[in-house]
Amino acid sequence: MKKMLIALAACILAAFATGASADVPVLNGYVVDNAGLLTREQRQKLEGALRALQHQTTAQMIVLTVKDRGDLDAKSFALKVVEKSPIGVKGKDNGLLLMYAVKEDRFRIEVAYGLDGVLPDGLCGSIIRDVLRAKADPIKHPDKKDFAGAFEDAIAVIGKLIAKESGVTLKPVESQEYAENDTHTSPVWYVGTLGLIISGVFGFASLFIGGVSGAFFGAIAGFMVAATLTGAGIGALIGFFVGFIARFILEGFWYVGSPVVEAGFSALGGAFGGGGADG
Amino acid sequence: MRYVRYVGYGVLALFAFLFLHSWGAYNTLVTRDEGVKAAWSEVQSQYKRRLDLIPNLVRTVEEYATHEKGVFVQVTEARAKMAKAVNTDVSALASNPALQQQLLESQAALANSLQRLLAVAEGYPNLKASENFIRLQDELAGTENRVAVARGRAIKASQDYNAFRCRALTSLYNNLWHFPVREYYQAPENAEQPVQVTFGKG
Repeated sequence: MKKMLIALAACILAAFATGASADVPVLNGYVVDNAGLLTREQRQKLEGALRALQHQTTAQMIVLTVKDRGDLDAKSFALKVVEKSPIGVKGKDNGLLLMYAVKEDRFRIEVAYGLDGVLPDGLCGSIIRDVLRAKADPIKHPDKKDFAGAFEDAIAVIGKLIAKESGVTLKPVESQEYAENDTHTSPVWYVGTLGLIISGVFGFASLFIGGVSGAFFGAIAGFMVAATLTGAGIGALIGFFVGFIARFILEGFWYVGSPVVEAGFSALGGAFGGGGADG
Repeated sequence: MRYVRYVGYGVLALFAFLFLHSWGAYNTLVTRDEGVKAAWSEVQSQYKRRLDLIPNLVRTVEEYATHEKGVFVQVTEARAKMAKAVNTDVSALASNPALQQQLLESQAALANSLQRLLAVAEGYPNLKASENFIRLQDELAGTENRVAVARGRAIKASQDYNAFRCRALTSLYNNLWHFPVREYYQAPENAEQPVQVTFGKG
């Protein structure tokens, strides 16, 4: 029940947030394998380990693979990803993104502020060089890179470090326990799916928020206004004005539509400041 | 004369709206202003972070390149000078683009001597292969990134604050409140050359 409420709040905030929609993928699972490097079993095993990590330490680590990064470099790309899909607990700032781009053949570990102490940049670099590249090196394994193994090892190493920091001993993952198909336990996933539905309802207020969402909901509001001519949309028109007024009032109290309330911090999720390493 | 009453209600509603709205606007201005200052403070701490890395870096290179005293002295001196520049008062920094430019340029000067230090290291393969040095390069690359991110966010925070301050009703209220503009210095494209480490590009 609590998670549903968090998800609902997330959707409302998502409806109001003016996100610059860059062409980076949305994180809608613990393992987002857009490059198709993992089999289903491998992915579920990794997801199990990541879910265990989150449940036992609250730190949220996500693995992302992409085919290529477009014309963004690793640092900008990773930062855009975590700004678009907030991960980690707000306040604790314990999110971590492990990313691999196939075309550029580059790993990047992006670390949130809270994990800076546990995983300084130098250590992240070491993990990439010594752990990930041990199984996925272009020179040593030109044809058979073992990404599943590499990710698994990296998760184990990172998990141990995070757990030690929190004074927790990571319990080994029982594949049955965690490999169930319930990847939708975190609010992050709801933002993507339900957000669109609920955003439509709040579309009236969104009309005046600029950006992509503004244009889209402007179309919906326009349709609603047209519908009022037949008398059927009077309610929609009322909603429109209520939303309009509400936006002004809310803006004062809840800083609705304010993308940068505290610099770099999103409304949900932990804060990332560009820390980490790539290689 | 019934409509006098309605006009009265209308005026009351208008005042209620203005009151609520100005209350909200004031809060938003204050919060965004604090956001700007926090962002600039973050920029300063990331620059400080780079300053803190330097002694370690110098020591590591010194171990291998014992005869290159000149460069080390230069870097250490530059660091000492820049340590002062990083401690400007944040509220002054947040609205003064000249101060921001000064900060940027002084740190760029430091970056230059750092670059020279790394160039020296190029000639020592044992040093380049040492785990310690490699990690320091990662740290340096990470710090450069953090600085860049922090600066971008500080500028964005200033823009958001200024944009809100300029809105129709808010600028009206501001004649009473006098919130200042937070100007920012937009560096030209190649003004700040981040220190290039041998790998970690892309």
